[in-house]
Amino acid sequence: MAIPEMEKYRNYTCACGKTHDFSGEVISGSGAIGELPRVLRERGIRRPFIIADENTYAAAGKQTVSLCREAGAEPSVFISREKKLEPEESSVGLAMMHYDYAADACIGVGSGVINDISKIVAAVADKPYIIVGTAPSMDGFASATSSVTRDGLKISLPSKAAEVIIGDTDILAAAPVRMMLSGLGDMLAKYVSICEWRLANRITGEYYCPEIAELVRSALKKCVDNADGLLRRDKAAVQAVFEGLVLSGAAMKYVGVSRPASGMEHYISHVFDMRGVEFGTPMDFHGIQCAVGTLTAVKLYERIKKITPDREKARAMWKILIWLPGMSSCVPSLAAARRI
Amino acid sequence: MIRLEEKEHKYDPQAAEVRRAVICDAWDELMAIVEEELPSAAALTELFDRLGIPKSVTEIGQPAEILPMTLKATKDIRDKYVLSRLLWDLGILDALCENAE
Ligand SMILES: [Zn+2]
Ligand SMILES: [Zn+2]
Repeated sequence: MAIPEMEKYRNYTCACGKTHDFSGEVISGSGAIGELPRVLRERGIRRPFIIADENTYAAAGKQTVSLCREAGAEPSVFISREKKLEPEESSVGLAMMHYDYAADACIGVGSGVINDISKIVAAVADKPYIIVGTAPSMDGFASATSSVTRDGLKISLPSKAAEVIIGDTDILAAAPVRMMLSGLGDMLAKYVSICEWRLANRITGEYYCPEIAELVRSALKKCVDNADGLLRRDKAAVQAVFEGLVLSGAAMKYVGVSRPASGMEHYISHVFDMRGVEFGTPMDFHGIQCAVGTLTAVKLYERIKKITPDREKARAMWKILIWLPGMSSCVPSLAAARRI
Repeated sequence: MIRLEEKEHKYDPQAAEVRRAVICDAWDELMAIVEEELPSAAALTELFDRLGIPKSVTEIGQPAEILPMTLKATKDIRDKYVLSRLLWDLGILDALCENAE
């Protein structure tokens, strides 16, 4: 029920020169949530604080509560009633204000937003964190940061890595299909991320680990090979996506950089997020935006494959561009993009 | 922005020149990496169609005209050397982004 590929990377000294490590326990597969009582008993958790929203509470929250009781623990529960829960100050604040000061652990029941909020609560409360996934929608399960809006800016806030990640395919397979496709999109992004990691390594000499790149590549392949099953909620397909997402999050932890899981396609998604925060323009699921970013990037790559770069021309062009306001240089294009 | 530049040397002519030299000398090698790592746009499009994954910015509620500026903006968003940085070094970022799809 653990992810076999990840077992190797416990304090693993790699040929790349780094030690790859991820200490969290991952429990994945049909019936995985049944392990929760053992998890709580082993850690002596008696009073977990559970965070969910109405949908995720129905999907797995109720079950989580009764499994806590089965372990002899008495949970306190906060269910967000927000119709469209966003990861920002008020939702994090509200969860905080419902926090049970007697709690000895924090359990997030959900995926993207709930996970981001719960990780912050666990970090501030300095309590162990457990996530019960309800949708394989993004790769933040294994990460120690939360993607949130703070002071009007979308940031990656250091929060808390989960001690235990539970992905019960019986629960995950019942998630909205678009959320599963979002998870697949976040995996497809890895085509571009790994490609750009290698390119950057060759061009700028940036650190690169072939072994971790291969790990992510094979997880991605498994997702793509099974992708069609997502539409019929096939457990193997759902599990491949969930495990791929967890593994991608762990991969970033292994190498200490986000390279294995994010490249230009994520930046494209990020621009949509920034515009959404600033102007209220539409924001889709993270992985759906990344999927669009991936296809766009792949098309751009196909176009550059056809060119032969000319160093003299490139230098000349570059010298002009760097001083041309309104082009991608002088006036930071970021600010320009926000203004559109 | 200035602090970032101290780390990235995105606008530093000398650093850009060094990168350009590598890019031009190793172009075939770089394109072989692209070939190895990326699926074809056609294969990807087919997968997206089969599963009903949105393929364009307009399908996720963004105006079509946002795309060029979005792509250009990725050069400055965070510190990673990504495709837009490569295109920037080659002086073709603006030209390529204008008719991106
Ligand atoms: Zn390594
Ligand atoms: Zn992502």
